[in-house]
Amino acid sequence: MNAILSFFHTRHLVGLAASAAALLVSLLWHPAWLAPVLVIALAAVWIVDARRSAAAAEVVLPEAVDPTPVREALEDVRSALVDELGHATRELHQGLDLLRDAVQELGGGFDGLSQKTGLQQSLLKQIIDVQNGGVSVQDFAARTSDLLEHFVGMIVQMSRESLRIVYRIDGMAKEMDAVFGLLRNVNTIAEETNLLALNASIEAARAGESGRGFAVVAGEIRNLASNSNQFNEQIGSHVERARAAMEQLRGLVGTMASQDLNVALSAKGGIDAMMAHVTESDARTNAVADQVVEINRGLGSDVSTTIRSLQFEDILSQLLQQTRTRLVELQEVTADCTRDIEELACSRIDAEALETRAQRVRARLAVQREKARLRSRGPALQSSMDAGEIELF
Amino acid sequence: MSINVHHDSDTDCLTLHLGEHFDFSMHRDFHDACLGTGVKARSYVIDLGEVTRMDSSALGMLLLLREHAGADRAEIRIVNARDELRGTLRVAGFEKLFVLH
Repeated sequence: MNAILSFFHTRHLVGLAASAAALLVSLLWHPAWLAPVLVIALAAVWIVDARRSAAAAEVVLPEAVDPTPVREALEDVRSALVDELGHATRELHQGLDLLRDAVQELGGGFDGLSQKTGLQQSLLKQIIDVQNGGVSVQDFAARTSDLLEHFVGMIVQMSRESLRIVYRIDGMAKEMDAVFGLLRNVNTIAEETNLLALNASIEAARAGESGRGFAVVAGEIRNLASNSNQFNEQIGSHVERARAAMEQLRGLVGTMASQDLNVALSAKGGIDAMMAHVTESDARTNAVADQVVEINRGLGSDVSTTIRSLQFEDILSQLLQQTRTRLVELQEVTADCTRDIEELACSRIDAEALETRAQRVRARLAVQREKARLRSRGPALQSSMDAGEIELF
Repeated sequence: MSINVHHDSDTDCLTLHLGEHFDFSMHRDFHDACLGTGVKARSYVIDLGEVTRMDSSALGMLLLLREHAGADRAEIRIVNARDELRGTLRVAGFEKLFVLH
């Protein structure tokens, strides 16, 4: 039992085991606060271990133990810690560079996206403006419809005027009938004159020689009556022809007045259907265009939100930079403290010197702690990326 | 006679019931019924309930009646027109000149 204890005392196995455990922990877990804690714990373990071994050496082994293996072990621990911290620092630096590049590229990509969205929006606006400003199918249909109404109006006006003419012709036909009636009267007069002349000539013949002159006058009157009859017949036939011509004219004007409006009506129906279709399709197009504009606007706002969010790179860089500084300082502290602890563990020195060294290690750690405290009190890091404020550090 | 005329002496309203074909063949009857009398009624009702065919001369007659009845002061109602006739009247812009029922 004594032999085992002395072995532990002389070989500093507790310190070595603690160092190995600390190394393992520092490799597996990387919070910033771990390293100083580990260093302090290790220092304490080593001090206790060294003191105990010194006491043991005094009591059990009065001769000085060869300190070389301890020194070597401590040297290993220090170099392992320092190397590891150095690696961590370099990796952090590398990560920082990668992050910066990636964020820059993302920013560029989103800027391009934003520009293209803007361009798309302006092109769409142009299309809509052209559609609203130019002659649309709707205009065309409306004008055609107006034209058709004008055309139908003209036909109806023409019918009205034709009817007016027809009514005038009817009036004239009535006048003609009146002329016919009068002619019949004239005929009667001529016949009566003729009869009168006949009677006169009979009376003249009965009078004998003295009535001869009267007979001549009666003959002339008969001639006049017969001429009058002939004129009457001529006038009658002329009036008859005029009536026939007027009847013909009436038929022609009537044809002009009677126009079929069904063609115009069906054309109007077609135009109305076309108008309805065009209006509906216009409305649909406008709705889609509005939707696209809305989507584009949303896209633009999404892109700007994303670009704003890329500020996280700034914050992250600050954090990583700070962690890197801590690691570098830890590297120095580790180097310094392990060197002192090595001296404490391996050199044969009196109690006063021992106390001084221990003091120095503690003081060094205190300085480091103070630095850490000051840094955490320093300019506050932005902890969120809200609301579009761009803060630059 | 293809036009039935009814005059309401209380309201001085002349109602014309037109036959199946309201076209040029009816122009004389139409004239005799309301244009040629020289007397103006206060209001007119044109009943197209039985009319199946109508051409432009029918519209011309209606316009002449409107002139006869005092143009803008005329009070003429066109009633019982079937849809296609109503369409024709509308294309001709008659809804601005007459009261279409």
